[in-house]
Formats: sequence, structure tokens, C-alpha cells
Amino acid sequence: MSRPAATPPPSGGTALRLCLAAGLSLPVGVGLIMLGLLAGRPDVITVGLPVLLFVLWGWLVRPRRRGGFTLRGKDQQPRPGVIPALLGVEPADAVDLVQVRVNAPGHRSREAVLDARRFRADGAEPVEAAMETVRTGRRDLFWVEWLEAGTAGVTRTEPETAGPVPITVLPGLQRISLVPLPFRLQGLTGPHSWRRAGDGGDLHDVRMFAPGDRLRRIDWRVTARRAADRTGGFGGPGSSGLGSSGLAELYVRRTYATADACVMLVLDSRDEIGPVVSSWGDATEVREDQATSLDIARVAALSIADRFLANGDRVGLEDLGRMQRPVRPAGGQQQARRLALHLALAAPLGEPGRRERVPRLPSGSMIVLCSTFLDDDVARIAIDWHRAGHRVIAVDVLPRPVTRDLNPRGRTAFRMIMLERTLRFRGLARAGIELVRWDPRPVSESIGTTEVAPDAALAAMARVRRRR
Amino acid sequence: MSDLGLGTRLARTARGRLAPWRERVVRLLWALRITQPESQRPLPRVRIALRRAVPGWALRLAGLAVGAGCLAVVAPSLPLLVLACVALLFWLIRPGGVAVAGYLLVVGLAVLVQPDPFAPAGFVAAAATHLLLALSCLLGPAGWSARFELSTLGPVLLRWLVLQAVVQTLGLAGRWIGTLGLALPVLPLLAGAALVGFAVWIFRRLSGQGPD
Repeated sequence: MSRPAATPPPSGGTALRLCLAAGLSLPVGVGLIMLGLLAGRPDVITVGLPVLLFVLWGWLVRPRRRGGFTLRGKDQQPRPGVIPALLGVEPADAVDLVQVRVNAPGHRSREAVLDARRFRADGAEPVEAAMETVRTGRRDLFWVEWLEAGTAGVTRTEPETAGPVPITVLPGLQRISLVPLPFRLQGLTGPHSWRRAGDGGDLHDVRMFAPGDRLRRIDWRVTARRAADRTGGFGGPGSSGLGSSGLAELYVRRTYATADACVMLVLDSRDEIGPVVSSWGDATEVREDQATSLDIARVAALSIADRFLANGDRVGLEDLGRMQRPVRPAGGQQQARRLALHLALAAPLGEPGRRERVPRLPSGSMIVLCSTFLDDDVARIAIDWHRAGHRVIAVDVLPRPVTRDLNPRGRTAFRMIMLERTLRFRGLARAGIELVRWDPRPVSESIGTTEVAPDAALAAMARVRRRR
Repeated sequence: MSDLGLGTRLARTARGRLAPWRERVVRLLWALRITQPESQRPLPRVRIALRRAVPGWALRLAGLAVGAGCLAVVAPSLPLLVLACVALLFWLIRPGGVAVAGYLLVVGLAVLVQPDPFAPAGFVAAAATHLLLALSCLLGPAGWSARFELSTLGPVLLRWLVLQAVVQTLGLAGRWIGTLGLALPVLPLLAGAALVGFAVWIFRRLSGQGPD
């Protein structure tokens, strides 16, 4: 449960006023009564009398103070999908109705008139509201306009606003079966076998026992076989058995050492664009059913990180959009949660700035760079990293562009941007950087297209063992 | 050359005249969501977990039926009928506004011009206008698509029933007293005094000088 976003404290004094319909009908009703009295017409009086009594009843039993209202997220760190929020109402005495209008970004508001009595019962539960989104990150999601109405709605309070509720929507995960490894592995333990000899599982070679070798490494079968070969075999006519002279040479079995991979996720959070090209560069709000480039980057980075962390490797995070220390590489579930939170909180800060210096990352680490590649900076940094000996995988997170509402001039500009981007990718490929296109569409929709699903692309890279 | 100039002028004039219409057609197409890209699809609605609920448009239509039924029974003269229909139409569009007061006034006048005090028009008008006012207060500023929990209608209808029981009984008693032919000259004076008192009270309330 999260902290309530807005809780107007119950204020003293009468805050309710006659509603417009009742306030205007009252003089008409009284006028009809007077008219009926003057004309001696009881039937006219009976038309005005219920109006007078109805309004007076509502006015006399009006609440003397305001109630309270709380709005909070049901889950402070939900995943994309249905995001719930809780509306807690504490109606004042004699309040009959609570009218709410729940708003959420990218959604039409919903009005509802609630029965206030349900909130006075013991164990009354708050009302649940929900919106649906594929967007991630820290966002202000719900805000509510609400008012209370007295008996039969005759009196009403002025509408008030609660919220918005800041909720951090964590990126979701996409299944990845295989991931490529860095050029060099690190450490003395880990899930991967390395080309150095050491304590591992895979056989490296068998050699003569030397000072420093452990006794448990002696391969007795090889030792016995070699001794038998030298002496002519066991139990034969000329054999003398395995005496002390037969075990002069001991053989030890050596294995490949194990090591872990160090992976640095690099997120380009300097810009965030949606799929609608006409909205690039302006303040048009992106729809909730359309993922932005940063949403895709978050999912891509977290999915890759999750795969590595599940393997037992270490993963860190560098944000190109912020001048701050990177998240150090580490393993475990705690690191997965830390990365998810950092990825969710990454957001553009003002205009995209230019990175003059290439960020320094742990040597030997593999770099997964998630970016739209709409400017030369990222490509230059990626090539510099590759020259420094890192294996760099460029993940293209540009959403599938929607260009239908572009005018001819905008269409031409878009085509030029895409051409520049294509040239940028060719330059990256020439430099030896591998490219993965991350498309958030389901696999079923990408069947028949020439694009390779990210899972398949990463698996293909993993099967080709590359070394420098 | 002059023909060309005239043609250009005509074309400009026509373009200038047609430009607002073009804009209107574009707006209409946008409103109808015809030939729009997926980026302009209608937005989804926020969901609220309510108990059994009734939509606002259903209550508005119910109010319209009540008002129309009342007019059918009262059968006012043509000018009053037109005024009542206009008021009812405005009520349908904005039930929490001034329309219900106008409707009440017109129906009250229509009952006044009825010759027979025992005609069913008076009883029906008393019940229908009261119900329409109750619906107005309930609907208030809520929109067509607002959802009303069904349990909110219970207290409103109960109060309507209680008040109607009292008022219709009093109305019957008043009509019966009217048939006795009693002369009560003090009654108009009392009514005038009450009217003045009410006017003073309401004006003080409206000017914000009186107690809440």
C-alpha cells in the first residue's frame, strides 16, 4: 500500500449549499402555494407543497461538517497492465451521496455516484478504480474530483480534488532463452567454463603430478593405466604388480576454470518518443496503449538483465541521460529489484544533452546499449567502447513509427532521419557491433515479416562464440 | 489577363468561403472517428468497481418519461404545452439546472387553469413534479454516462413516497373542505404574511447576511 496522495482533513462549519435545481424550485413551489391559497385551489397547493417540504427536509438535515477522502495506489510498484487505485471515503453524518469523477492519463474520466451508507458500515472497503497501460516509469496516474451531497442530493458541497497519485510502474519482462557472453569472462567462480585451467567441471587435460597440485585431483585410473603400460600389464607373467616402483608417476586431472560474466546495461534516457512521428518534438501526450522508446528500452534492459542474473552473472547499469555514478555490477535478486527501480526512474531531463566523454565501464564487461540511435553521440560512444575491448550489443528501441498523419514535408523529414539512422547502423556493424531490434509486438504479429524476434537474435549471437 | 484575374479572385473568394466549412467537415469526421489513424482511436474509460449501478442516461430517460406522462394527463393548453416541452427538453440536457423550476411553474399554471379541482391532473402533477425534482437533485451535475449505485435510489424514492402520502392526504382534505363552501377571509392575509416572511428569509440567505 502506498501513502495516500491527498487527504483533505475534515473541516468544521457547514460547507453544503442548496443545489441549483432545489434552490430555484423552492421559490416556485412557495409561489404556487401562495397562488393556490389566494385562488382557493387546494390542487395547486398540492403541486407546490411537496417541493417546499422536499427542499426544507433536505436543508434541515444537512450535514454540519465535511467528510474526508483518500486516494492511494493499491500497489505502489505494479507491472504494466491494469493499475488499480483505492478511493477511501469518510462521509460526514447525514451525507447520502458521494459523487466522484476519476481521471487517469490517456483515459476518459468516469463519473459515479456512490451510496455514502456503505462507507459507514464496519469493515467498509474502499472503492477500487483501475486504468490500463503499457507505459512504465514513475508517473502521476489518478486524480479524483469529488463532492458530497446531503439528503436526496438537495444540498451539495463544492467539488474538491484529490491526487494525483505518483505510482512507479516497473517494466515487464520478456522471455529470453539464451544471451551472448562477453569476450572475456572474469573471476574464479561462476556459471560459465572459461579457457583457463582451474576448479571447474569440464576436462582440460591430464598431466603429471606437480608440486602444488591437490591430492584429490589425482586421476587414479590414468595413473594405473600408465603404470600398467610401462610394466607390461597387471597379473601377466612378467608383472610385479602395483608395487611402490609402479606408482612413481602420478597423473592429475585438470579442469577448466569457471568464471562469471560482467554485463553493463547502458540506457539512453536522454529522449523519449512515442510511435506517432508527428508528435516527436512536441508535448503531445502519448497514448497509454502505445509504448514509448523508453518503455521499450526499460523492458529490453530488464529482460536481458534478468536472464544474466538468473545465470548467476553480474549486471550493472549506466544511464546516459544523467551525470551520476552507475549502478555497480552485482548479482542476485536484490540487484534485479534495484535495476528494475533504477530503470523505472530513468526519465529525460530537459533537452537531450551531448556526452563529450565516454563513460568508463568495468573492463571486460559486455555492454548492452539500449537507444533509439537518433543522434551520432550514442553511435560514437558505442564504437569507442568497442575499441576499448568491450563486446557491445546495440539494442534498437525505436517504436514502430506511425506516419499516417504526417504531411508531405514531415514525411520527407522523417525519411531523412531514417536514412541517417540506417547509415549509423551500418557504421556500427562495420565496427563490429552487433545489433538487435527490440519490437514490443507479440511474436504472432511479427510472423511473416523480415524482422527477427529479439529472443531469436540474442540466441543466434549466443551460439556464435566470439573472441578478440 | 482580366479573365485570369477575375478567376483568381473568384477562386480566392470561394476558398475563403469554403474554408470554415472544410474545417467543420474535418471536425465532424474526427468526431465520427472515420478514416482516423489508430493514434486517434477513442480513449478507454477509467474503471470503477461499483455495486449494482444504473447509468445516468437511464435516469434522464426515466425523468423524461415521468414529465411527458404528467403532461399527457394534465393536458395543458398549447402555449403551456410548448413551454413545458421546452423545459423538459432542457431538463433532459441539464437536469440539475433551471429547467425543473420552469417545468414546475408551467405545470402549476396548467393545473390552475383546470376547472375541476378533483380532476386527476392535480394528483398526478403533484407526484410527477416532485419526482422530477428529486431526480434533478440526484442527477445534479453528473453526466449522461455517470453510474449511480442502485442503493442511492432507495432513500430518494422512500422520501418521495412519505411526502406524497402526506401531501396527497392533505390535498384530498383541502378539496373536501373546499366543497363545504366555508368562507375563510383570513387565509389570503396569512398567505401574504407568510410570503413576505419567506421573501425576507430567502433574500437574506441569497445576500449572505443571514445565518447558514
